[in-house]
Parts: sequence; structure tokens; C-alpha cells
Amino acid sequence: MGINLEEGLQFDHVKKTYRNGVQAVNGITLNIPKGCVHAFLGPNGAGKTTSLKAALGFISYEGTVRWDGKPIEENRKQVVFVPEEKRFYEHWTLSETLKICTQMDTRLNSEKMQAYFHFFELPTKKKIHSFSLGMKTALYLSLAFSTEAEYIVLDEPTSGLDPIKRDDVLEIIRQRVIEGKTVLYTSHIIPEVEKIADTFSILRHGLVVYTGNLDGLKEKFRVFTFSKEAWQKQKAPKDVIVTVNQNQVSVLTDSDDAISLWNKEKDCFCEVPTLESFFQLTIRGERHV
Amino acid sequence: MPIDIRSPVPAYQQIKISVKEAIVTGRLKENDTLPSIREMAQEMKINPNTVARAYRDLEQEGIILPKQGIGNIVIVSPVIVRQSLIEELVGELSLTMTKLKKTGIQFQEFAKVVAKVWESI
Repeated sequence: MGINLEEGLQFDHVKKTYRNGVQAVNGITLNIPKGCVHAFLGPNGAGKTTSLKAALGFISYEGTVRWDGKPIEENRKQVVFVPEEKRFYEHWTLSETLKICTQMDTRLNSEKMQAYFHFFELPTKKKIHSFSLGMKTALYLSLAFSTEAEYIVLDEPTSGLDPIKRDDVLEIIRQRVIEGKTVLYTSHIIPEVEKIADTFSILRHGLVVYTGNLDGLKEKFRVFTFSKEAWQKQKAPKDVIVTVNQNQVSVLTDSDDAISLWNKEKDCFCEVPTLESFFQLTIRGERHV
Repeated sequence: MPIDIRSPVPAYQQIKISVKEAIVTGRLKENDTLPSIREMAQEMKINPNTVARAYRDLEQEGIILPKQGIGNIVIVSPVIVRQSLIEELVGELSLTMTKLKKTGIQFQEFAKVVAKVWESI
């Protein structure tokens, strides 16, 4: 099946080098189809937020990003964004914020917004400076969920939320996707990504080191754990990512040859990777190709 | 029933298994309509794309047929589905069996253990 370039979000060789010479994004090419939740995973400084900022046109960059085939400038109405840093006019109350926001952004549906405020139990008469981080996050999300924009971009959307509210937010995201919206978000919380993402990309040093889905991991990949001695007896295997951890060696592979060989090997233990173990091994491990 | 995301069994496969189980146990009969992709996504707390993939597979296996305006219809009898359900569930066992084999267990010993568990169920 060919990729429809008129639909979805496309990153094509996106690079960003800051003035101080730091290369934050090193050439990302990625297709995010419409109607899915795509998560950017990666350690701090991997280029997650910079990639989002480039896609949103907040910073200059090399390469191209297209939203349904168009640059962001021509499609901004179809995109909402929740930044990691939640900034508001702190001396406004929630109802003042609601009033001014709906005047400024005609996409906002004030009934929906009020329903979300109620849902997140946000006090309408209190000034925003009295809000906790979780409440500010909930307020930002209420705004983002109250438009009919096709794309919802969220940078660490659940920061400061308690576990119950976090699950609620994931349910809202899922609901929006069922309605046909597309969600792109970054997260540090892997169990959250596991619950909600259709597809994910793991970023490291400004590059996408893996992109795929959770079912694909479970089908194709295996993690074999060897003792150091047992590992030394193995002959230079290919297509593996090796992580040495005290007395154990964890080997991640999707090579059919390696999998069928080690399935018969008595000196190792085989597991289906979880997203957490896959993430750790891809970030820390050393590639043998 | 919600999907177990942490399970080593891929989510789309868990959906296929639960549909096949529903047919084999008679909760879904021939000519019945499956819940829509949206309904299933909501009920199982999973993304619609994963449900769509499971339904595509079930269609390819000749178990369901999409009919415009109606939905996905069950087109086979429980007898036929039973065999493919068995194969799918045995597939789930293979990882555990790989682990068992590595312990050096012999087939006869394994069979005895299986018989013992079987009796206790």
C-alpha cells in the first residue's frame, strides 16, 4: 500500500542546528498516518520537543514538514498544541480566561470547554496563579480538546496530573482518535505510551532509531539474556543490540536466524520485549550489524 | 473485556482470540453482527486501528465478512472456528514451551506435568 502524501503528517529530512552549533535534530523522516496516536519517546535532549517545534513552524529548520500535504502556515487552523511549559495570564480567573480565549480563537467551543473544566474539577472563580501544575495542565488540555482541529499535538500532556486524571486524559485522547483525530505527543512515561499509542518513534541524538507499533515489537523482537561467560561463547552475531549489565548480557534482536538459534540454546533466557525493556535496550545498547 | 496491554500476546491477536471464543462458545452466532470498530475500541480500551487490523485478519481467514451498512457479519460455524482458535491458543503456549525446553525437560515428563494441570482445571 502506497503512502498517501495528501493525508497525515510527514517529516522529510528535518534537521535543526542551533546557533551554538548544537544539532538537536539530525535528519528525521517520518510518516504519521491520519487517525492514529503517535508518540515520540526518548531521553532528555533526544530532539522530541525540537521536532515538534519545527513541525509547528515555531523555529526555522532544514527539510520539510507537511500536514495533509500542506506547510503549517496553510494549515494552522487544523492544529492545536499543548506545550510542556504551561503559561497563562496568572491574574485572570478561569472564567475570564474562557471568555478571552473564545474571543481570540474562534475554533474553541465554549460549551465543550466548560464541560471539560467541570470534568477536571477546575474552580471557575479562582485566579490561575493559585492553580497547581496539574490544574494548569488540565486547563491547557481543556482548551485543546474543545476545538475540532484535525491534529492534536501534546508535549508531555500528563505532567502534574494524578494517576486517575492521567488515565482520564488518555481516555479522552482515545475518544478523539475514535472520532477520527490524529494525535502526536511526547512522553517520558512509557506505561502511558503503551496504553495509548498506535505507533511510536524512539529518538536518540536527534535521530529516529526505531519507529513502529507495540504489536510489531511483540511479534518480531525477542530479548535473550545470557550470563557473561555464555555470551562470550557466541560467535559474532549480527543484527542485534547488546546491553551489558553487571553479570548479564541482554540481547535484543529481530533476526529470525538468531531467534531460532537461541531458542534452542540452553544457556539463555528468552522474553518478548515490553515497550519499557525495548526502549532501555535501544537507548543503552550497542548495535552489532 | 479490556485488552491486556502488558501481555506478550499482541493486542490485535487478543481481539481475534476473543471474537473466536465468542463464536465457539455460542455468544456470537452465524449471521450475527460484530460490534463496530468504534464500539469494540471503546469496550476493549484500545485504539480503533488495532481493532481494524484484527477485523481485517478475521476477514482474510474467512470468519467475518464486512457488509456495507450492516457491519461485520459472522459467516462461519463454531466447528470451523474451533480449529483456528485451538491453533491460536497453542501459539500462545509456544513461548512457555520454549522456556520449559531450555530447562532440559523431556517430552514424557512434560506430558505428565500437562496431564496433572489438565486434571486440576
